[in-house]
Amino acid sequence: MGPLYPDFINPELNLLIGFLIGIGFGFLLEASGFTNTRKLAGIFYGYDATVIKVFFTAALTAMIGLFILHYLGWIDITATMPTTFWIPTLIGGAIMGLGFIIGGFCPGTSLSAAATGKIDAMAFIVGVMIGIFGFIFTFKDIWENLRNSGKLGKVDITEWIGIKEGLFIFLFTVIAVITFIGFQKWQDHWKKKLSQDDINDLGI
Amino acid sequence: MNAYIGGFLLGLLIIAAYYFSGEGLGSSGGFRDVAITTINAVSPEYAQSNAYTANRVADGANPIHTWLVYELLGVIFGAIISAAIFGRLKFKIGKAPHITNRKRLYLAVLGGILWGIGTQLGRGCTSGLVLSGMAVNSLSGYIGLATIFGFGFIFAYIFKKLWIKTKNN
Amino acid sequence: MKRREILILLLLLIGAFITIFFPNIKSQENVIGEKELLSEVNKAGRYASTDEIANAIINNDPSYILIDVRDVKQFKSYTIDGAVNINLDNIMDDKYKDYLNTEAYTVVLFSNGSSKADQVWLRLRCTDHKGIRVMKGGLNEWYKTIINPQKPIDNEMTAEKEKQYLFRKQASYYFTGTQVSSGVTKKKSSSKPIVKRKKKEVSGGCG
Repeated sequence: MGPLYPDFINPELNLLIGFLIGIGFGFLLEASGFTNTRKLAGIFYGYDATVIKVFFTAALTAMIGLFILHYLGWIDITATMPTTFWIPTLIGGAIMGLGFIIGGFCPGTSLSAAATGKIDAMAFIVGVMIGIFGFIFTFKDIWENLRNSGKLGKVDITEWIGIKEGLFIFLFTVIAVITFIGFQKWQDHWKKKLSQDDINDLGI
Repeated sequence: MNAYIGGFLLGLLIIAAYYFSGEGLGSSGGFRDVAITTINAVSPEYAQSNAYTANRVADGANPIHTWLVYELLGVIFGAIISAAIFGRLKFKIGKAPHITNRKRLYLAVLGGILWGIGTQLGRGCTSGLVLSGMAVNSLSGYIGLATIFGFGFIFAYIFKKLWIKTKNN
Repeated sequence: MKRREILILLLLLIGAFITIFFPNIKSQENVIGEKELLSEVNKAGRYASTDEIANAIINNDPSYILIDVRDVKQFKSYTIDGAVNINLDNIMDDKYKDYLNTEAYTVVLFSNGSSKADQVWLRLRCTDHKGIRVMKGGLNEWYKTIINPQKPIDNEMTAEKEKQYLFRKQASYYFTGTQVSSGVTKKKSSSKPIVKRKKKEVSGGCG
């Protein structure tokens, strides 16, 4: 029964698996166009629906797959459920939302973009490291209490809402499919207004 | 690659990460580990005394040998492989056409700083907090989803001219 | 939309529809939690020896927090220097959260024997506290080894045992104050700073 680490595979093999999964992750990010900062920003302006489609398809696939595998007894997903700290996640999320628009990347996409030669992504990574160092150096004075506030424990969203888990997943899937169709329409609407250069750049 | 196929394969990868290692795909955690390793190399005393880094360097533990750091190494290779296959491997600055290179780079650094702080405060980024969190139905993942994208849309509206050429600029 | 796109979306919708008929995950959780708990109960590192504790106190090691889990009366009549009194009934109180939710410190529980401290340990482990230890043998062992150490019998004397005995003898002077030997001086144990720290992610547990 998964997770196989640490009971069935040793730490070295686990790191190797991490490396291999990373290769797949980087490949898929690049192949799906996540290294193009304009495609990422397209989420928010509607001229490119690619990122939304990839992101939610991935989330749905993992969600449904893990739930079914858990039910079949192949994997215990409760072991990896993260603890929710709602206050810092809310504030951190707002900061990240601002960073997304200003910087045009998120950390994972910036790394794959920098690896493929995007200079703006390299600058972004420099910024991320500055931010993390700054956070660590000011941790005690500014962040410590805030980061540990609002602890709710390992909360399952369905438990929190009070809805059956499977029903939640199904509803979420339906909403996501409707969102895909809506974003596709938004993108089609934009496509008429974009120049041919833009369309080539975005690959839509 | 088709968006739905890419997403589907990415989802399978998340399942694999949980199945083999009990880890969610993540990024900011790996950046953090690199930062802590650097601090630990420069001043082990400081790393031991700082409450944020202390438990990750306790007992001579080396924070560079973590699953996330190896995963990020893989991301670099994977992205290069894909870009090589699709012929996208070249130096360039990605930006909206009407933004100057210098402005784009300044803003990229600034946005990066915000992400550096936001990820450490919010306990993860779009991959580790949101995508992997949603995969196990964690409330934290959905809070991350709602705030990152919710505020993203608000700030996108405010900073529209960074990405969209409007009549005014 | 292309055919393969529709295929993937249909696959997801069908998969999601199937999950409706599955029971909630929480209800079938416990099995691995018990297994994990058992393996942790049997882990040697769960115990701290009396020598380790004595050494920490003598060296004014600030990273140890000692918790006396006996009742108040017993605590008042005798306890180890610097220990705080929290017992089974009030261990879950909010005001003690700072003592227990700490990562930078080693929290060590003790009672007269081991059983009461073990009980508290179990209670804490089941509520997501990790890394907490129990003083092996409790105060009985403390008395036998530190306060009133017995000299090993001559023909069993090894260099290691002798070293241990000498340490214990010195520790005994230190704690009882009957005789101050050179090298070890009686210092008032400083009160320990308590820092709020959240524990690392814990997997498994007690349902």
